[in-house]
Amino acid sequence: MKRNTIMIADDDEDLLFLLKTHLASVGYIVSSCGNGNAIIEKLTQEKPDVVLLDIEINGMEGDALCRQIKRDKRLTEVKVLIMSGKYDIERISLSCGADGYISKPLSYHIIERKISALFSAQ
Amino acid sequence: MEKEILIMTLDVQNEMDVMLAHRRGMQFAKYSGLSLSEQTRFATAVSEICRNSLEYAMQGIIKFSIVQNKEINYLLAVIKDEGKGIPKLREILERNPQSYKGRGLGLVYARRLSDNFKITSTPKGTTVHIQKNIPVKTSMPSKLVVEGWIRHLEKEPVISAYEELKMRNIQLVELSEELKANSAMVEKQMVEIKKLNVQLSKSNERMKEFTYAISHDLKTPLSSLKLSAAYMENNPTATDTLIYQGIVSRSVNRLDRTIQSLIEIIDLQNQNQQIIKELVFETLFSETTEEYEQFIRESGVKIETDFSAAPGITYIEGHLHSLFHNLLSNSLKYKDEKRKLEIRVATKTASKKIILTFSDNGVGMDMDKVRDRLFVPFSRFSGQVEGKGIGLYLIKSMVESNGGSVAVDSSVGNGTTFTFSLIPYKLTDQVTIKKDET
Repeated sequence: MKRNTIMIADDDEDLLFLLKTHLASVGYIVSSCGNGNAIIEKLTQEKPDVVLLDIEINGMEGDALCRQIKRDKRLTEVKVLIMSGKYDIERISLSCGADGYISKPLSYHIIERKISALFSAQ
Repeated sequence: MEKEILIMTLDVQNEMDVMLAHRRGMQFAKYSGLSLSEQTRFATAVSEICRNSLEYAMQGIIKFSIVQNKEINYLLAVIKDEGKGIPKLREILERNPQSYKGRGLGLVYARRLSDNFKITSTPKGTTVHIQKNIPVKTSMPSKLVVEGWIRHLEKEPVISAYEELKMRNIQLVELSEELKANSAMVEKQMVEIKKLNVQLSKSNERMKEFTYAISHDLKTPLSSLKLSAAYMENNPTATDTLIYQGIVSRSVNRLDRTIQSLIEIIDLQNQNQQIIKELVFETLFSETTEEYEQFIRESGVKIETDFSAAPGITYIEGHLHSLFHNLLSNSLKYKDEKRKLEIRVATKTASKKIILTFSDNGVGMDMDKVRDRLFVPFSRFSGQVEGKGIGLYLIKSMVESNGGSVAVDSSVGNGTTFTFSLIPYKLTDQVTIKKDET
């Protein structure tokens, strides 16, 4: 069976490490991107199944990035999960066309559930 | 304890007496310190009731007095007649002047014009109390003063009905003028209120932005803490816990720094520090550069100032100091390593504002990329430099809370220019701000 791929886009190195280690330990193939400017390029190269996108990556807005991803014909297969501590994350995620959201502070349990929900919906 | 000083008693036997009662009502109200509109209200109420006495009981008697009790001083007119009383009094008092067409609204109007209105009516006669409150700031007239009023009135020449009418006309004109002046004042206050409203919604917007930003800055390290704790709990025998300990300590430091920034922001908004002073730019700026003296000397930073066009400003000292402090600290932090840092600071006046420009030849920013987030607290645009990311937020919110504005121009490799439009305070504003503290 093909293993699912996930890219984590966040500018916080500790968080990148924690998410990457954990998701790899539960069986995903995980890559990461800590630079908002490089995300689109990296996504088109890797075409992961899911990208976990922080709401703010070194000054760039995650919801704007998400719109860009959703408009990009090369990235139609990529599912986007927005991560944020903002209280209106649900509204933001709907308005930028994300496939779902994860509220901060994060928990492994919820991240896993949200990701697997995306795969089972396919 | 109630104390009543009798001013005057008048018989009401004809139309001229009603006019006189109106006139005395105006005069006593005026002597008691009431405004023209309040004088008119009192006198109109008095004459309406006197006319009723004349019409329905052929005659009456009116007694003017001043009453003082614990809470309030008031002017009192008591009108008594010995007529047959008013049948259906309650029904009459409930008439609506807007829908009721016909005579007999005098009582309704008189009641509306009074601060307190009492009426008792029996088949043996009617008594009406009309009360008009005297403003607190006015001192209670003593018996001696009231005697003075009466002596003054005794000297008054007898006047004809025509003259009386003419006088009332003049009073009406004056009254309408007073109303006009009042409405102009109301309009002015409305403008003021609208201005405050705009300021309030701006500060609300800033607050909202701030809450968003701080929640992001708190929740990211909290996430790291939570996830690290979960890992260590699930893997108690793991050998790689050192990495997680590192993450925990970094996250705690970051939370600590965010909270420090919060304290800094709250401190700056603290009313106690808002001392308005006449400030000299040169002095304040050189005080700020002294804080970085060693760094400036060692890295050969060139600073040029020109405050000649506008040497000073009346402003909140803490705010202007923090403005310079944050600008200077930013310039020093983001200097271009390829060349010596040069900073230029200048002021000029533009109508009632003072324009302050602060420019450097540092690394600069790509405005297309950062414009929207430049002043958002806890945004950092450079990974290389350690910072809390609140400097520009502080600058903007300080300048705007004092009614001014800020503009930025910057390009990568060339440097950054901040242009501030500062609204000077008046030294008298101090009083208002101090009042708000209590």
